[in-house]
Amino acid sequence: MITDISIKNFKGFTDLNINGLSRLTLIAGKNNVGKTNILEALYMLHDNQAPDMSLKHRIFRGLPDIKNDSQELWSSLFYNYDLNNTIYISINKSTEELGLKLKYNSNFNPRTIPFEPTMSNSEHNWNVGQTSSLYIELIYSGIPVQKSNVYIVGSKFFMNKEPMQNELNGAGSEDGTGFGCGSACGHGLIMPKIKHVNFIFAHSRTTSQEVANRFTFLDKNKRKDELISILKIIEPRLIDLSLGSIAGDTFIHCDIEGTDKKIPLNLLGEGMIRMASIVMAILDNKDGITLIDEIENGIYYKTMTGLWAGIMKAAKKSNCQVIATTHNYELISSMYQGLSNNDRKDISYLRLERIKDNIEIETYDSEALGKAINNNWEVR
Amino acid sequence: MPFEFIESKILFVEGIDEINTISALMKEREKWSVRYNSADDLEYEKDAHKYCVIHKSKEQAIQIVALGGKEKFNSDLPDIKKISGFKELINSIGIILDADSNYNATYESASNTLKSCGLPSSSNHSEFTNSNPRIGIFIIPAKDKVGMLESLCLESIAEYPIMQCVNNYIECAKIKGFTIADNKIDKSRCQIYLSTHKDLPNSVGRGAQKKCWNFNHSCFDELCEFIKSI
Repeated sequence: MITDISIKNFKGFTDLNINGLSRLTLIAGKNNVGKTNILEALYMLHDNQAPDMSLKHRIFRGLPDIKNDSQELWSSLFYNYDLNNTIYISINKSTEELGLKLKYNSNFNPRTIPFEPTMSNSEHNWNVGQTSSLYIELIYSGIPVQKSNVYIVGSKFFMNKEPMQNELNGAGSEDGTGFGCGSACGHGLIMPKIKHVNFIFAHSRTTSQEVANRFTFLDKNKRKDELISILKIIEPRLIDLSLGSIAGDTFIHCDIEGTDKKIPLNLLGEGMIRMASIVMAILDNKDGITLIDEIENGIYYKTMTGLWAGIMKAAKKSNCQVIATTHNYELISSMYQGLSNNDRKDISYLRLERIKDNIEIETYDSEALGKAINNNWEVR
Repeated sequence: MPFEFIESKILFVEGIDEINTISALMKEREKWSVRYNSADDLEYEKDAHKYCVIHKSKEQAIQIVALGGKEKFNSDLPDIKKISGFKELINSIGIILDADSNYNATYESASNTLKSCGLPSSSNHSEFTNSNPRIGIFIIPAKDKVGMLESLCLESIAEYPIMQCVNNYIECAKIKGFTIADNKIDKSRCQIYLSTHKDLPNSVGRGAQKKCWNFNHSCFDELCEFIKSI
């Protein structure tokens, strides 16, 4: 469980420390205070083995791909677009559980020259001595466990991993303690077991196919009943779910009490698809972290109470931590009102505020949030 | 609409009576304008976190916020600090509380509450700290005195002939065996006085709105200066 996050020199943050995260954490604040940046930082921290991790934050926001301008691509990660800064993202400072350091390297010489037969002529003309890279250092329990440089050739990302001292000494561990390398790194490096992170972003329209794929996965693993029991909180008339084909495409069909025919999930509305998608993403992410940007999108305010109960139930079943952002007061108050006293122990609410030039965090535990909601105090 | 801080200058008071009295005082005596958050007059039920804004100009606008009692100030301030706008917006805070039976205890309690919330407190009555936000405490009716808002308002009309009748009523009631607690006697006198007015205003605040108090009396000087210096 992530209980605290530290973010330095990443996007709009110079030095942000967030404490008091819970199984279910909701983040709010005015526009442009950096709510989504927190999710992106967490995603990047856990996506550290992906060479294109520096590009994904743009995809999440629907921005164009600019791989051909690596300086522009990377500078957009740094505070004030200043490539002289060092980005540092870490979680759980008491154990220094996981940290990620990013630096711009203007003069990088890779040990190997990438070559693939599919490369275009312009990619072959790449000059080895004149490239730049994004230096990435992964820190586990306070110790650097991987150092690498990511560079771009043509439209492809490459990651050069530096040999670590413990690797050179032959100290790589496969002892099953969570330090074993596994297939993620593939080079015998000592690596932490990184949690899987789902990112449900704000501007994506969930496709019926994606929802059907997730459903298939859950159904294959005999977890359909878990999904139905959670969706029943949101739609009490739901009896069963199954896959069906319409004009060659696969859709989830719902058996709804009082109807003669099964109905495609889509006909229950965009909100129902989003809710089903969120619940399935959590159920499908055992021991992981699910990040949801602007969770209220497409969801009718009266169903928000049921949504939270469903999310909490799914999160507990999968031991998944959920961190979401919102602008919506009803959604914030429904998080408190929609959960039992027992479940409320597992929630926290954070508001980002811009105080002069700094971003500060106001943290509400369940008790403080309840007091604010019951007194009708503005918490956004 | 959820309650939020909308002005950079805030005056915390105990209840709706203080909001109605102070807004009437500043309107009548200093010609300030008053803007209520909902209806023309504030309701008396569930008075926590009702507010109005009094303003002389755009720059000199004060949001008066009713906390729902002196105890609420002590218990709720840590959570009130979390309300949207507190950190972003506020640069000056005035606090007005009733002394009741002990001026020193009230001042000290308010001061300790501020400190426990990480906020500064001036050691002198009605003085503001040189911090951000500036903070000052005013104890009603005045420095080193005991009493409440009713005591202050009654002082402003002490010379009115009707007060002889009010005092006689209290004395007569005592002689006849009715018990009126010393710490409530000004509330009783206030009710008796207000009952002689045409519209029968039933509280010190409603009395203020009906011009029952003499806001030009010197007993309000210090309070007015405190409010203007927020």
